[in-house]
Amino acid sequence: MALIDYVKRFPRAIYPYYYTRSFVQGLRAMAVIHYHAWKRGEKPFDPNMIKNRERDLFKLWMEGRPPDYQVAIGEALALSVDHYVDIFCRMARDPDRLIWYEDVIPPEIIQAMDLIPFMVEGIPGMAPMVAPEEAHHFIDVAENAGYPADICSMPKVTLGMVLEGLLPPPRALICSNSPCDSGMSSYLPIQQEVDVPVFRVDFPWDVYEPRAKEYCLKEIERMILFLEEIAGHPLDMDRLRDVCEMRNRMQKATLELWELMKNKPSPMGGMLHPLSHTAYQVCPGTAMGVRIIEEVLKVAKANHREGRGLVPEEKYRAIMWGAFPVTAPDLYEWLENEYGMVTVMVMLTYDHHPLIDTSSEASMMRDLVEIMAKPPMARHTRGPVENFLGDLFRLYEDYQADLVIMGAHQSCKNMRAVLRILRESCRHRDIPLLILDHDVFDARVVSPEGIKRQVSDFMDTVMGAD
Amino acid sequence: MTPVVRESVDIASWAERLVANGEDRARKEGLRRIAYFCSYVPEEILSIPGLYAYRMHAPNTITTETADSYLGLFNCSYTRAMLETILERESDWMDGFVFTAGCDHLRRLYDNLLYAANPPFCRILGIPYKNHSDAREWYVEELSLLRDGLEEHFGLPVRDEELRGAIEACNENRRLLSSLNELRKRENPPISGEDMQRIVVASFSLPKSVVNPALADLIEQVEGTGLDQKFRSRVLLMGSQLDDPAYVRVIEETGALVVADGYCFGSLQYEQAVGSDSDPLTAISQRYLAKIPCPRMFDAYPGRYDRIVEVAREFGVQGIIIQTMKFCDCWGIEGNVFLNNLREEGFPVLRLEREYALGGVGQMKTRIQAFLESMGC
Repeated sequence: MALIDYVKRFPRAIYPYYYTRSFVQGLRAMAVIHYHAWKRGEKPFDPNMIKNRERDLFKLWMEGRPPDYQVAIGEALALSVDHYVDIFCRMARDPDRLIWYEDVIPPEIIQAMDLIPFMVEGIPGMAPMVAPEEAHHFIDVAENAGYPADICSMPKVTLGMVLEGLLPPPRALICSNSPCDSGMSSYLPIQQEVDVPVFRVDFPWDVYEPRAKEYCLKEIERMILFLEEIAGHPLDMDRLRDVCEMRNRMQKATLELWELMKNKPSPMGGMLHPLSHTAYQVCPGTAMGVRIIEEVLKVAKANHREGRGLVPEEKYRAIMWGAFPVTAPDLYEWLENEYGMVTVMVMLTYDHHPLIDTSSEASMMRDLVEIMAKPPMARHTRGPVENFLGDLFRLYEDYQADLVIMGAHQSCKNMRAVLRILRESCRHRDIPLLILDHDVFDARVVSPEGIKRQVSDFMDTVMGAD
Repeated sequence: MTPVVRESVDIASWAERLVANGEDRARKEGLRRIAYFCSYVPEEILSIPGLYAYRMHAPNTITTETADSYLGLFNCSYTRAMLETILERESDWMDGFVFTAGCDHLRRLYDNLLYAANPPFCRILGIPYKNHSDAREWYVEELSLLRDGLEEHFGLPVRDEELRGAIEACNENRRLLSSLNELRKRENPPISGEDMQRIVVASFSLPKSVVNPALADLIEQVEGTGLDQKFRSRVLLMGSQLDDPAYVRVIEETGALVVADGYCFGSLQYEQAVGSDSDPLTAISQRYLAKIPCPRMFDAYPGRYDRIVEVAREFGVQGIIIQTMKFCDCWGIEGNVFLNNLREEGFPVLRLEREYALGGVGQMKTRIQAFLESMGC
């Protein structure tokens, strides 16, 4: 029996167990980093960029949940901590293999080359959730350095951290033109700051066009050549096959989870569902990634078997479209507690792809490139507005949703420019729509309370909620 | 500062007459007018017999209430002004629209225009972000689709011979504009920056058959003349899309003569000719992807930077003004990188943020005057 199976018997021990576990992992990372830095005669890199506040998330998302859910949250977060500790330890031993990649670029190929993939926006992405004052500081750093206040706050937090030298220095950088101009353009100052070779992936505007497949494939082949030069060896296709097959396991579990979530009541929701999906961004095709998704699926299956929803009384089912307000990390939980509203699907989680056909190198590359060209959000913000709306309306029907919450991030020029089209399209289909104004990473623009007030006003006036 | 008085040619009147007469002549000849919004749309394809290309501009559009309800308030004021202008006009004001997927704002302008007005001819080109052989091939395919669309919709032949004719006319236009631009290297050039902007806007609003002879004639007239007014300094103006001569005038009224530019409704539009590849679409693709690119193009910053430095030195500028449209992510971010790098190179640089419609003139002049004083001018 694993330790966690004992812990589960004592619900009060779950949070301390995971807290302690991540604390110990943090100590391990510090020890390895300091040791190798001492050996090389260098100043050690400090992985404590957001002051250990990420452990606050355990408490936030576990509170009030049944033990199985708490364990699933704990596993998802703890495995993410494990992932970063693993990255930092590998990087400490071998700093010349660290590759920065932009968040919308799936890192399977980097992983398969035994390079160390580090998602640039990963740690900046946690800051608004656990240390908002830190996020604001990094935004101010970017703006004080002359970068416009109106660009997306996600690249601003990232740029701020890069300008302060807080992220581990890379050997090379992979970025793209996805999903938007802010993200794309921010990589020019980032590149100048870190001064390493860069490969930019050119995805066609409409990645759904049939011609786009061939173009993307050739771009990814160029990316592979670039990485091979960095790695000093060719891409091992057998290793890539292993990664893809593990990713397929994750995908099967995800598809099964999504099918379960179509049921009423939904056996899964809260932050756990979208959180688990970060596994696709940071550790796809790894045993860790598989475990994260399977833990979530376990909880969902158990609930469904017992005819139980995630919330005691499911009153509303919502689709969260657009940018989730990271500044209000308890939003899903609050919706459930306040209104019995379960978020059954999220744009940033909807990464719907067939399984990768690993029977040949050609089919494997073809399917992997499809996944790289159409990650969540990018598949909706690129191409004509039909790409933005198509998935939404189909999901609304499939998941028997009651309303749509559109996370209208103020600096997202792309998505804000189609709000009228969205509003009228929803009206035409009798779909209640809340346009939630916020800034994705900057709580000074709209506070978490302000976000919730918008929801409350909508639920009172439009949905007639009690 | 007294307004500029030209010895021989009043460029403002010249441009006004040319546009009025040119539009009148185009109407009488039954030419269809196709609007485009980005320098990556090849004018050549829109300049075949029966059509002419019109680079969209509407600097007098001050309010954008209707457009704001479609595009957000955080979308650039150029795209909002364009949408407002189009929606306000009669449906036959323009015969077609061609976009590029150049930036988020343009892409969504396309979506909103289709949604709000559903123009009979409205296309978008998916422009690559790179200039390798696959990118050029992709661009050729996009141009082929555009050509086919034009043929089908307007019933006009767009064969290679028509395209070669259009290439020749557009190349001639570029040559003439470049010749005129070269005159600005002189210590006392015959035209100001405001003049050049009027000439460029007229050039990209009319059939080349109208513009080219007028330009040739103008070059002859201004050759050997110089501006009456004395200026305190020579500057290069670069940055976001800029089509309003009044903006340049405000700068020049402070005593800073704009002798060179680096923006897409300026020299970036007319530098570099289309080559003589046997396939016209291939030749067009090569030119457009190889020309001095805008910040949306990948891995092109070093080339763009070197070009600005080279032009600044060739034109003897003492300072550089970077103007960026509010909410323009590409220029907003790259403008700051340019600022830092140019200053490191020893150039005095001023950064100005603006909206599409001219405003805040007093503040702008104060900042420019302070900038000139800081340069010791």
